[in-house]
Amino acid sequence: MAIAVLLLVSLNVVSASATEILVPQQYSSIGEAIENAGSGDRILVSKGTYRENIVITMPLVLEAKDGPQDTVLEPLDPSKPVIKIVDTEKVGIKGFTIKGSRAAGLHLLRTKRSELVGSFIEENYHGVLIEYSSYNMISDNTITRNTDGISLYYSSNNMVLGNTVNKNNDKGIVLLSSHRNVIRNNSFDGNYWNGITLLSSHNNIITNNSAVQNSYAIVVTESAGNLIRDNYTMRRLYFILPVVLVYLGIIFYQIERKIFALYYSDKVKRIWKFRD
Amino acid sequence: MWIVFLASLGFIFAVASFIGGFRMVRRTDHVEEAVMHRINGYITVGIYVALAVIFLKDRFSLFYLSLWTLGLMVHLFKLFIARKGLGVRYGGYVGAMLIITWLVVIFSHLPS
Repeated sequence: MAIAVLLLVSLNVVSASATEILVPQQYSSIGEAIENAGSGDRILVSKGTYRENIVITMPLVLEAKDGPQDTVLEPLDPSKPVIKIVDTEKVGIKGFTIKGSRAAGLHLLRTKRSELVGSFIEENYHGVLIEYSSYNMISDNTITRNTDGISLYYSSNNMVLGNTVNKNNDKGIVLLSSHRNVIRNNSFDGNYWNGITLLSSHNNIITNNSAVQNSYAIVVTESAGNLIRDNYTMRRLYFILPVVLVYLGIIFYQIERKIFALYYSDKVKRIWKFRD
Repeated sequence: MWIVFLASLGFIFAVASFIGGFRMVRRTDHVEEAVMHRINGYITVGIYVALAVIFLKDRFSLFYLSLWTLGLMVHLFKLFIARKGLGVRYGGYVGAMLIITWLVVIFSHLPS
Protein backbone atom coordinates (compact mmCIF):
# COMPACT_ATOMS: atom_id res chain seq x y z
CA MET A 1 0.00 0.00 0.00
CA ALA A 2 2.77 2.33 1.00
CA ILE A 3 4.58 1.55 -2.25
CA ALA A 4 1.41 2.24 -4.26
CA VAL A 5 0.93 5.62 -2.58
CA LEU A 6 4.58 6.45 -3.10
CA LEU A 7 4.29 5.52 -6.80
CA LEU A 8 1.17 7.65 -7.19
CA VAL A 9 2.84 10.62 -5.56
CA SER A 10 5.94 10.24 -7.70
CA LEU A 11 3.80 10.02 -10.90
CA ASN A 12 2.00 13.20 -9.90
CA VAL A 13 5.30 14.91 -9.34
CA VAL A 14 6.44 13.92 -12.82
CA SER A 15 3.26 15.11 -14.55
CA ALA A 16 3.16 18.33 -12.54
CA SER A 17 6.73 19.23 -13.40
CA ALA A 18 6.50 18.16 -17.09
CA THR A 19 6.26 21.08 -19.51
CA GLU A 20 5.39 21.34 -23.17
CA ILE A 21 8.00 22.75 -25.49
CA LEU A 22 7.04 23.90 -28.96
CA VAL A 23 9.28 23.56 -32.00
CA PRO A 24 9.89 25.77 -33.95
CA GLN A 25 7.91 28.39 -31.95
CA GLN A 26 10.15 28.26 -28.85
CA TYR A 27 13.25 26.60 -30.28
CA SER A 28 14.13 26.50 -33.96
CA SER A 29 15.49 22.96 -33.86
CA ILE A 30 14.53 19.76 -32.07
CA GLY A 31 18.10 19.33 -30.80
CA GLU A 32 17.99 22.76 -29.18
CA ALA A 33 14.65 21.94 -27.58
CA ILE A 34 16.05 18.70 -26.16
CA GLU A 35 19.09 20.54 -24.73
CA ASN A 36 16.77 22.88 -22.88
CA ALA A 37 14.24 20.27 -21.83
CA GLY A 38 13.96 18.69 -18.43
CA SER A 39 13.28 15.10 -17.58
CA GLY A 40 9.72 14.08 -18.55
CA ASP A 41 9.05 17.10 -20.76
CA ARG A 42 6.98 16.89 -23.92
CA ILE A 43 8.35 18.39 -27.10
CA LEU A 44 5.66 19.16 -29.67
CA VAL A 45 6.97 19.56 -33.20
CA SER A 46 4.98 21.42 -35.84
CA LYS A 47 4.93 20.36 -39.45
CA GLY A 48 8.01 20.79 -41.59
CA THR A 49 11.21 19.03 -42.55
CA TYR A 50 13.91 18.97 -39.86
CA ARG A 51 17.48 18.01 -40.80
CA GLU A 52 19.14 16.90 -37.58
CA ASN A 53 20.82 14.00 -35.86
CA ILE A 54 18.80 13.86 -32.67
CA VAL A 55 20.30 12.32 -29.54
CA ILE A 56 18.09 11.72 -26.52
CA THR A 57 19.61 10.81 -23.18
CA MET A 58 16.78 11.55 -20.77
CA PRO A 59 13.10 10.62 -20.37
CA LEU A 60 10.93 12.79 -22.62
CA VAL A 61 8.25 12.65 -25.27
CA LEU A 62 8.93 13.82 -28.81
CA GLU A 63 5.68 14.19 -30.69
CA ALA A 64 4.70 15.45 -34.13
CA LYS A 65 1.74 17.78 -33.74
CA ASP A 66 0.50 17.40 -37.31
CA GLY A 67 1.17 13.72 -37.92
CA PRO A 68 3.77 11.83 -39.93
CA GLN A 69 2.76 13.03 -43.41
CA ASP A 70 3.77 16.59 -42.65
CA THR A 71 6.54 16.21 -40.08
CA VAL A 72 9.70 14.78 -41.57
CA LEU A 73 12.98 14.08 -39.78
CA GLU A 74 16.08 13.62 -41.93
CA PRO A 75 19.68 13.25 -40.76
CA LEU A 76 22.11 16.14 -41.09
CA ASP A 77 24.87 13.53 -41.20
CA PRO A 78 23.43 10.49 -43.04
CA SER A 79 26.10 8.19 -41.58
CA LYS A 80 24.46 8.62 -38.15
CA PRO A 81 20.97 7.67 -36.96
CA VAL A 82 18.18 10.20 -37.35
CA ILE A 83 17.17 9.63 -33.72
CA LYS A 84 19.45 7.94 -31.21
CA ILE A 85 18.15 7.15 -27.75
CA VAL A 86 20.95 6.08 -25.47
CA ASP A 87 21.35 5.07 -21.81
CA THR A 88 17.94 6.21 -20.70
CA GLU A 89 14.34 5.12 -20.25
CA LYS A 90 10.72 6.27 -20.79
CA VAL A 91 11.25 8.07 -24.08
CA GLY A 92 8.28 8.43 -26.42
CA ILE A 93 8.54 9.09 -30.17
CA LYS A 94 5.19 9.67 -31.84
CA GLY A 95 3.99 10.39 -35.34
CA PHE A 96 7.04 11.36 -37.44
CA THR A 97 8.36 10.43 -40.84
CA ILE A 98 11.94 9.35 -40.20
CA LYS A 99 14.03 8.82 -43.32
CA GLY A 100 17.34 8.85 -45.13
CA SER A 101 19.97 7.54 -42.70
CA ARG A 102 22.67 5.09 -43.76
CA ALA A 103 22.83 3.98 -40.10
CA ALA A 104 19.31 3.79 -38.68
CA GLY A 105 16.07 5.71 -38.58
CA LEU A 106 15.70 5.11 -34.86
CA HIS A 107 18.50 3.63 -32.77
CA LEU A 108 17.79 2.51 -29.23
CA LEU A 109 20.97 1.72 -27.33
CA ARG A 110 20.86 0.51 -23.71
CA THR A 111 17.35 1.95 -23.39
CA LYS A 112 14.39 0.75 -21.34
CA ARG A 113 10.63 1.26 -21.34
CA SER A 114 10.54 3.54 -24.36
CA GLU A 115 7.93 3.73 -27.08
CA LEU A 116 7.88 4.35 -30.81
CA VAL A 117 4.33 4.85 -32.04
CA GLY A 118 2.60 5.80 -35.29
CA SER A 119 5.61 6.84 -37.35
CA PHE A 120 6.66 6.27 -40.96
CA ILE A 121 10.22 4.99 -41.09
CA GLU A 122 11.64 4.66 -44.57
CA GLU A 123 14.81 4.57 -46.68
CA ASN A 124 17.24 4.00 -43.82
CA TYR A 125 19.73 1.18 -43.43
CA HIS A 126 18.03 -0.14 -40.29
CA GLY A 127 14.51 1.18 -39.93
CA VAL A 128 14.55 0.60 -36.19
CA LEU A 129 17.69 -0.71 -34.50
CA ILE A 130 17.36 -1.85 -30.89
CA GLU A 131 20.59 -2.86 -29.15
CA TYR A 132 21.09 -4.00 -25.57
CA SER A 133 17.66 -2.64 -24.72
CA SER A 134 14.62 -4.06 -22.98
CA TYR A 135 10.94 -3.47 -22.20
CA ASN A 136 10.47 -1.15 -25.18
CA MET A 137 7.37 -0.96 -27.34
CA ILE A 138 7.32 -0.50 -31.12
CA SER A 139 3.72 -0.21 -32.28
CA ASP A 140 1.58 0.94 -35.21
CA ASN A 141 4.45 2.17 -37.35
CA THR A 142 4.92 1.82 -41.10
CA ILE A 143 8.48 0.68 -41.73
CA THR A 144 9.27 0.37 -45.41
CA ARG A 145 12.04 0.57 -48.04
CA ASN A 146 14.81 0.28 -45.47
CA THR A 147 17.54 -2.33 -45.81
CA ASP A 148 16.30 -4.13 -42.68
CA GLY A 149 12.96 -3.11 -41.20
CA ILE A 150 13.41 -3.81 -37.49
CA SER A 151 16.62 -5.18 -35.95
CA LEU A 152 16.73 -6.41 -32.38
CA TYR A 153 20.27 -7.20 -31.28
CA TYR A 154 20.96 -8.51 -27.78
CA SER A 155 17.65 -7.08 -26.61
CA SER A 156 15.02 -8.77 -24.48
CA ASN A 157 11.41 -8.34 -23.33
CA ASN A 158 10.49 -5.84 -26.04
CA MET A 159 7.11 -5.69 -27.76
CA VAL A 160 6.61 -5.23 -31.50
CA LEU A 161 2.89 -4.83 -32.13
CA GLY A 162 0.73 -3.88 -35.10
CA ASN A 163 3.45 -2.55 -37.37
CA THR A 164 3.51 -2.65 -41.16
CA VAL A 165 7.03 -3.75 -42.06
CA ASN A 166 6.74 -4.23 -45.82
CA LYS A 167 8.96 -3.97 -48.88
CA ASN A 168 12.29 -3.60 -47.16
CA ASN A 169 15.34 -4.35 -49.27
CA ASP A 170 16.66 -7.16 -47.12
CA LYS A 171 14.76 -8.50 -44.10
CA GLY A 172 11.55 -7.53 -42.34
CA ILE A 173 12.56 -8.17 -38.74
CA VAL A 174 15.77 -9.69 -37.42
CA LEU A 175 16.30 -10.94 -33.87
CA LEU A 176 19.90 -11.66 -32.97
CA SER A 177 20.56 -13.06 -29.51
CA SER A 178 17.34 -11.45 -28.36
CA HIS A 179 15.06 -13.28 -25.97
CA ARG A 180 11.51 -13.16 -24.57
CA ASN A 181 10.29 -10.54 -27.04
CA VAL A 182 6.67 -10.42 -28.22
CA ILE A 183 6.05 -9.91 -31.95
CA ARG A 184 2.34 -9.83 -32.66
CA ASN A 185 -0.15 -8.56 -35.26
CA ASN A 186 2.48 -7.16 -37.61
CA SER A 187 2.74 -7.58 -41.36
CA PHE A 188 6.14 -8.49 -42.77
CA ASP A 189 5.20 -8.69 -46.45
CA GLY A 190 7.11 -8.20 -49.68
CA ASN A 191 10.55 -7.93 -48.12
CA TYR A 192 13.34 -8.97 -50.44
CA TRP A 193 14.79 -11.68 -48.22
CA ASN A 194 13.22 -13.05 -44.99
CA GLY A 195 10.03 -11.79 -43.41
CA ILE A 196 10.96 -12.85 -39.87
CA THR A 197 14.47 -13.99 -38.92
CA LEU A 198 15.54 -15.46 -35.59
CA LEU A 199 19.24 -16.06 -34.94
CA SER A 200 20.26 -17.50 -31.58
CA SER A 201 17.14 -16.03 -30.04
CA HIS A 202 15.11 -17.96 -27.50
CA ASN A 203 11.67 -17.91 -25.87
CA ASN A 204 10.16 -15.26 -28.11
CA ILE A 205 6.44 -15.15 -28.86
CA ILE A 206 5.68 -14.66 -32.55
CA THR A 207 1.96 -14.85 -33.25
CA ASN A 208 -0.67 -13.50 -35.63
CA ASN A 209 1.79 -11.91 -38.02
CA SER A 210 1.58 -11.96 -41.77
CA ALA A 211 4.74 -12.92 -43.68
CA VAL A 212 3.90 -13.24 -47.36
CA GLN A 213 5.74 -12.48 -50.60
CA ASN A 214 9.17 -12.59 -49.04
CA SER A 215 11.88 -14.92 -50.36
CA TYR A 216 11.43 -16.85 -47.11
CA ALA A 217 8.60 -16.23 -44.68
CA ILE A 218 10.03 -17.21 -41.28
CA VAL A 219 13.63 -18.36 -40.77
CA VAL A 220 14.72 -19.75 -37.40
CA THR A 221 18.37 -20.60 -36.80
CA GLU A 222 19.94 -21.93 -33.59
CA SER A 223 16.97 -20.77 -31.56
CA ALA A 224 14.89 -22.68 -29.04
CA GLY A 225 11.71 -22.32 -27.03
CA ASN A 226 10.07 -19.82 -29.37
CA LEU A 227 6.30 -19.83 -29.71
CA ILE A 228 5.62 -19.34 -33.43
CA ARG A 229 1.92 -19.76 -34.05
CA ASP A 230 -1.00 -18.51 -36.16
CA ASN A 231 1.19 -16.58 -38.56
CA TYR A 232 -0.07 -16.15 -42.11
CA THR A 233 2.36 -17.45 -44.74
CA MET A 234 0.19 -19.15 -47.44
CA ARG A 235 2.87 -21.62 -48.51
CA ARG A 236 0.41 -24.23 -49.80
CA LEU A 237 -1.00 -21.85 -52.36
CA TYR A 238 2.11 -22.42 -54.48
CA PHE A 239 1.00 -25.92 -55.33
CA ILE A 240 -2.76 -25.56 -55.33
CA LEU A 241 -3.39 -22.31 -57.16
CA PRO A 242 -1.94 -23.13 -60.63
CA VAL A 243 -3.91 -26.41 -60.77
CA VAL A 244 -7.11 -24.69 -59.70
CA LEU A 245 -6.54 -21.96 -62.27
CA VAL A 246 -6.09 -24.46 -65.11
CA TYR A 247 -9.43 -26.03 -64.16
CA LEU A 248 -11.04 -22.60 -63.95
CA GLY A 249 -9.59 -21.77 -67.38
CA ILE A 250 -11.16 -24.91 -68.91
CA ILE A 251 -14.52 -24.22 -67.27
CA PHE A 252 -14.37 -20.59 -68.35
CA TYR A 253 -13.62 -21.67 -71.92
CA GLN A 254 -16.61 -24.04 -71.99
CA ILE A 255 -19.00 -21.38 -70.67
CA GLU A 256 -17.61 -18.77 -73.06
CA ARG A 257 -18.00 -21.18 -76.00
CA LYS A 258 -21.65 -21.76 -75.19
CA ILE A 259 -22.34 -18.04 -74.92
CA PHE A 260 -20.55 -17.26 -78.19
CA ALA A 261 -22.22 -20.16 -79.96
CA LEU A 262 -25.64 -18.84 -78.95
CA TYR A 263 -24.77 -15.40 -80.24
CA TYR A 264 -23.24 -16.57 -83.50
CA SER A 265 -25.73 -19.34 -84.26
CA ASP A 266 -28.12 -16.82 -85.89
CA LYS A 267 -25.42 -15.09 -87.82
CA VAL A 268 -23.86 -18.13 -89.45
CA LYS A 269 -27.14 -20.01 -89.67
CA ARG A 270 -25.93 -22.89 -87.58
CA ILE A 271 -27.72 -24.44 -84.65
CA TRP A 272 -25.76 -25.44 -81.60
CA LYS A 273 -27.50 -28.79 -81.09
CA PHE A 274 -26.18 -30.14 -84.41
CA ARG A 275 -22.60 -29.45 -83.47
CA ASP A 276 -20.16 -31.95 -81.98
CA MET B 1 -3.46 -9.34 -52.47
CA TRP B 2 -5.61 -8.14 -55.37
CA ILE B 3 -2.61 -8.39 -57.66
CA VAL B 4 -2.68 -12.18 -57.13
CA PHE B 5 -6.29 -12.15 -58.32
CA LEU B 6 -5.36 -10.09 -61.38
CA ALA B 7 -2.52 -12.49 -62.22
CA SER B 8 -4.89 -15.44 -61.69
CA LEU B 9 -7.45 -13.85 -64.00
CA GLY B 10 -4.77 -13.42 -66.65
CA PHE B 11 -3.80 -17.07 -66.31
CA ILE B 12 -7.44 -18.18 -66.71
CA PHE B 13 -7.74 -16.14 -69.91
CA ALA B 14 -4.41 -17.55 -71.11
CA VAL B 15 -5.64 -21.12 -70.56
CA ALA B 16 -8.95 -20.37 -72.32
CA SER B 17 -7.07 -18.78 -75.21
CA PHE B 18 -4.70 -21.77 -75.38
CA ILE B 19 -7.58 -24.28 -75.63
CA GLY B 20 -9.37 -22.08 -78.17
CA GLY B 21 -6.19 -21.94 -80.26
CA PHE B 22 -5.91 -25.71 -80.34
CA ARG B 23 -9.53 -26.08 -81.40
CA MET B 24 -9.09 -23.48 -84.10
CA VAL B 25 -6.17 -25.41 -85.54
CA ARG B 26 -8.36 -28.51 -85.83
CA ARG B 27 -11.52 -26.80 -87.08
CA THR B 28 -11.53 -23.60 -89.06
CA ASP B 29 -15.23 -23.36 -89.87
CA HIS B 30 -16.41 -21.83 -86.59
CA VAL B 31 -16.38 -18.05 -86.55
CA GLU B 32 -17.13 -17.84 -82.82
CA GLU B 33 -14.01 -19.84 -81.95
CA ALA B 34 -11.86 -17.35 -83.82
CA VAL B 35 -13.54 -14.35 -82.18
CA MET B 36 -13.27 -15.93 -78.72
CA HIS B 37 -9.62 -16.79 -79.23
CA ARG B 38 -8.87 -13.26 -80.36
CA ILE B 39 -10.75 -11.62 -77.48
CA ASN B 40 -9.16 -13.92 -74.88
CA GLY B 41 -5.75 -13.24 -76.37
CA TYR B 42 -6.13 -9.46 -76.28
CA ILE B 43 -7.45 -9.52 -72.70
CA THR B 44 -4.52 -11.75 -71.70
CA VAL B 45 -1.98 -9.33 -73.21
CA GLY B 46 -3.80 -6.39 -71.57
CA ILE B 47 -3.64 -8.00 -68.14
CA TYR B 48 0.00 -8.94 -68.71
CA VAL B 49 0.93 -5.33 -69.53
CA ALA B 50 -1.05 -4.05 -66.51
CA LEU B 51 0.75 -6.51 -64.22
CA ALA B 52 4.11 -5.51 -65.68
CA VAL B 53 3.43 -1.81 -65.06
CA ILE B 54 2.24 -2.44 -61.48
CA PHE B 55 5.20 -4.69 -60.72
CA LEU B 56 7.83 -2.38 -62.22
CA LYS B 57 6.35 0.67 -60.54
CA ASP B 58 7.13 -0.95 -57.20
CA ARG B 59 10.36 -2.79 -57.94
CA PHE B 60 12.01 -1.35 -60.99
CA SER B 61 15.28 -2.84 -62.14
CA LEU B 62 16.74 -3.61 -65.54
CA PHE B 63 16.63 -7.30 -64.70
CA TYR B 64 12.89 -7.27 -64.01
CA LEU B 65 12.24 -5.01 -66.99
CA SER B 66 14.03 -7.43 -69.32
CA LEU B 67 12.10 -10.40 -67.85
CA TRP B 68 8.73 -8.71 -68.39
CA THR B 69 9.80 -7.60 -71.88
CA LEU B 70 10.82 -11.19 -72.69
CA GLY B 71 7.33 -12.36 -71.67
CA LEU B 72 5.74 -9.69 -73.84
CA MET B 73 7.94 -10.81 -76.74
CA VAL B 74 6.54 -14.34 -76.35
CA HIS B 75 3.01 -12.90 -76.62
CA LEU B 76 3.94 -10.83 -79.69
CA PHE B 77 5.74 -13.79 -81.26
CA LYS B 78 2.55 -15.83 -80.87
CA LEU B 79 0.63 -13.04 -82.60
CA PHE B 80 3.20 -12.95 -85.41
CA ILE B 81 3.00 -16.74 -85.88
CA ALA B 82 -0.80 -16.61 -86.08
CA ARG B 83 -0.79 -13.71 -88.55
CA LYS B 84 1.68 -15.52 -90.80
CA GLY B 85 -0.55 -18.61 -90.84
CA LEU B 86 2.06 -20.76 -89.09
CA GLY B 87 -0.25 -21.63 -86.19
CA VAL B 88 -0.75 -25.22 -87.32
CA ARG B 89 2.94 -26.00 -87.24
CA TYR B 90 4.22 -23.86 -84.35
CA GLY B 91 1.09 -22.82 -82.44
CA GLY B 92 1.38 -25.63 -79.89
CA TYR B 93 4.98 -24.79 -78.96
CA VAL B 94 4.35 -21.07 -78.68
CA GLY B 95 1.12 -21.70 -76.77
CA ALA B 96 3.04 -23.87 -74.29
CA MET B 97 5.62 -21.08 -73.95
CA LEU B 98 2.81 -18.66 -73.18
CA ILE B 99 1.40 -20.92 -70.50
CA ILE B 100 4.87 -21.25 -68.94
CA THR B 101 5.24 -17.45 -69.08
CA TRP B 102 1.95 -17.12 -67.24
CA LEU B 103 2.98 -19.68 -64.64
CA VAL B 104 6.09 -17.57 -63.98
CA VAL B 105 3.85 -14.49 -63.72
CA ILE B 106 1.60 -16.28 -61.24
CA PHE B 107 4.52 -17.45 -59.12
CA SER B 108 6.15 -14.04 -59.15
CA HIS B 109 2.98 -12.59 -57.61
CA LEU B 110 2.17 -15.39 -55.23
CA PRO B 111 2.75 -14.79 -51.57
CA SER B 112 5.49 -17.06 -50.24
